[in-house]
Amino acid sequence: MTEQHQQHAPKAAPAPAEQSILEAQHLCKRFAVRSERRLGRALEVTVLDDVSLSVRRGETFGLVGESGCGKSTLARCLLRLLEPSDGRVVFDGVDLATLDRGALRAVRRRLQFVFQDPFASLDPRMSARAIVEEPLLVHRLGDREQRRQAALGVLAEVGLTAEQAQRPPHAFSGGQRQRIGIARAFVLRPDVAVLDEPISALDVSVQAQVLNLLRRLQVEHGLTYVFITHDLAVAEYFCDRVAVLYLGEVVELAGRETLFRAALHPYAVSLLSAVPVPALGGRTRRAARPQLVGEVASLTERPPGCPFEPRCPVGRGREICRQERPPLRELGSEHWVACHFPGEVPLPARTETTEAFAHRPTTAVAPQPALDTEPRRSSTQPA
Amino acid sequence: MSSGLLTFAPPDGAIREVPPLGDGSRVRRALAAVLGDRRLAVPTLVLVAIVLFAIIAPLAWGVGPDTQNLLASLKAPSLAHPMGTDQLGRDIFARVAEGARISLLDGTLIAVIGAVIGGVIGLLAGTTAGASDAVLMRVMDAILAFPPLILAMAVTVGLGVGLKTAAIGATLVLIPWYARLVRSEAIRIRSLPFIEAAHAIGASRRRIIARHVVPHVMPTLAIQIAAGFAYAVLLLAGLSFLGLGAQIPTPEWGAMITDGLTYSLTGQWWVSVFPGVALLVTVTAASMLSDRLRDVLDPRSSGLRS
Repeated sequence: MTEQHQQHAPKAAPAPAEQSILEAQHLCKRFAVRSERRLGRALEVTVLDDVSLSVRRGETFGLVGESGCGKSTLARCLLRLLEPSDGRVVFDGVDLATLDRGALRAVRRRLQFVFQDPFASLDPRMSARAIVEEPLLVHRLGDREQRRQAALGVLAEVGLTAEQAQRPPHAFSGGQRQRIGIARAFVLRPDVAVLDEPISALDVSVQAQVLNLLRRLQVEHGLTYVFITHDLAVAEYFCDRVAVLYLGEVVELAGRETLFRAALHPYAVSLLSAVPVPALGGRTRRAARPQLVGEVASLTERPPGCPFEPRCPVGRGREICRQERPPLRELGSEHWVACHFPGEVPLPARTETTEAFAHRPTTAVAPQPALDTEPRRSSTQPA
Repeated sequence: MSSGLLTFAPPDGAIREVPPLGDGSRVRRALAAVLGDRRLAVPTLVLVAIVLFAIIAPLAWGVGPDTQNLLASLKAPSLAHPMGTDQLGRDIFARVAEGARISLLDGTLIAVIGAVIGGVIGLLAGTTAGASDAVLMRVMDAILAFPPLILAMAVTVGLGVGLKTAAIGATLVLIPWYARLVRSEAIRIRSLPFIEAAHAIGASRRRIIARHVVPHVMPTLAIQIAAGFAYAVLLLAGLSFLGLGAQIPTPEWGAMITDGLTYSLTGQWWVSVFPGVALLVTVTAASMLSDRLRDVLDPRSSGLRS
C-alpha cells in the first residue's frame, strides 16, 4: 500500500499535519456490483476517488455535496466502519488500518459517530438509558451504578429526564431520538464526533434545537466535528471549513467565509447559487444563476478527466477537461480548488438580507480540557 | 436510507400505552405482554388443561395404564371407564393420560433441542457470510431435500426402532427449519442501522450477536418453537402409528390408534378415537398458539420495531 501512496505523493494533502486530528490521505472506496457482470468481470463502483482532507483539532469540518456523492461513505471510512479500498485514515497520528481489534476499540472511544437516521439507529428493544450506557459497558468503564449515573447525566445534558430514560426509543419523537443518539456518542467523551446528516431526518423546527445542542456540547467539551450535510445553509451556519464533494472527489475546500463568498469551482458555485434566499418584500431576486444540465456521471464509468466536465458550464466539451483530471490546487490562502478554469463562473452577488442571514457568531472553541481530569469521566474509569 | 423514514407512523391499532422499560427483565416484560393478550387465551388455556391432565390424571385415577382386566375387555365408555377399555381390558382414559405425558414431554424436548441446535447453526450462518454460511446452509438444504416423514423413518430404522430414536429423527427434521429461519432473521437484523451503531461504539462481534441480534430473533423463534412442538407431536404419533416409534405396551397416542384400528371395523370405535381426539386437540392448540403468538409478537403489529 505504501508504494501507492508514494505515487500520489506530489498531490499534497491540504493543511499541515501537526494540527490535524483526523486525516484522510488519498482515500478510495470501490464497491463491487454483483448484479452487473460483464464477461465474468464484476463491475466496480468508485464511490470515493482519491480524497484527501485534514480535520483540525477543535474545528467543525463540513462535508457537503448532493446525494450519492460519497459523503456518508467517506464518513464511514473515517471511522473504519467501512474498509477503504485504498489510502489511509490517520487519527491523531495513528493509521487506523494498522490497528487490531483491541486498538481499534480504544480509538473508537475517542472517535464517535452520530447517525443520520434517529429511528433505525437505536435498538428498539433497549431503553434510552441502556442505549446510552452501552458504550460504557463495551469499554468496561465504571461499575453498574457509575454507568447508570453517567448515562443519566449525559441524557440530562441533551435534555432528557431520568423518567424518560426508562422508555424505549419508539416512545420518543425524532428530535428526542436524535438526542439519544447524540448522548450515546458523547457518553464516552470523545475527541472527534463524525455527524452524518444528524438533522436531515428531523422536522425543521427541531433542527435548530439539535444544532444548538451540538454547538453547546462542542464548546463545553472542546470537541472536533466532522459535519456532513446536504443543506448548505446549515453548513454555512455551523462549519468552520467546508469541503465540497462531487462524485467522490473533493472539488473545493475552503474556510466558510471564503467558500460562501468566493467559491471558485463551477460546481460549488452552482450548488451555492441554488440555495433559496429569503428576501424582503416578497419578491425573490433571481440572480443570474448557472443552470446545470445533464445528470451526474455514472460511478461505474467515471470520465477520465474532470468528473464534473459533462455538466460543467465552463468546461463541457473542452479537451483538457475531458482528458485530464484537475488536481486540487491551493489558489488562495487555504482555498483549494480542483478545476482547470477556476472562477470563470462568478458566484452571484448576495443581497443584504443574505449577508445579514449569514453573519452569525462563529464557533467559539473552548480550550481542549484534559479529559482525564474531568470529574464524571474519572468516576467512570475502572479502579 | 433517509426519505422513507420521514413518513414513519405507527400502524393502526399499534398506538398503545408505552410501558417504561426500567425494572424487570426483558423476559418478564415479554411474558407480561404475552399473558396479557386475549388472543392467546384460548390456545394457552387448552394447553394448560392438557398439561394438568397429563400430570394429575395418572396420579388421581385409580387404574394404571398397563393394568389388564381381560374380563372387562373392549367395554364401551361408561362411568367406570370414561373412554372405555381396549382388547386387554386396559382403561383407555388412564392410557390417554399417560400418552399425554409422553407426547408433551417428547414434543417439548424435540422442539426446544431442535431450536437450540438449529438456532445456533442459523446464527452462525447468518452472522458469518461466506464459506461457513454456504457449507452450513447446503447441509441444511440436504436435510430439507428429504420428505420429513421419510427422513424420520430412515433415522428411526437406522438407529433401531423406538421412541427415543423416533425423537432423534423428528429433531433432525426440525433443525433445518429453525436454522433457515434464524439465519434469514439474523441477516435482516445484521443490516439494520443500530447494528452499525453498535460497531461504531466499539462493540465486539460477540456482543453484537448476543445483545442485539439474538433478542430480535427470539420472538420469531418462540413462534417457531410452538409450531415445531405441534409438528413434533404429530410426527412422533405418525412414526408410532407406523410401528416405528413407541412399542407395545407404551401408551403412545399414535401406537394406540394403530392398536384400535382393527376394532374400529367391528364397532369398538373408542379404542382409536379417544387417543386420536387427544392428538387432534393438542396439535391444534399448539399450532393455534403459534399463529396467535405471531400476531402478538410480530414486529409490524407491535410498533416495537420501526
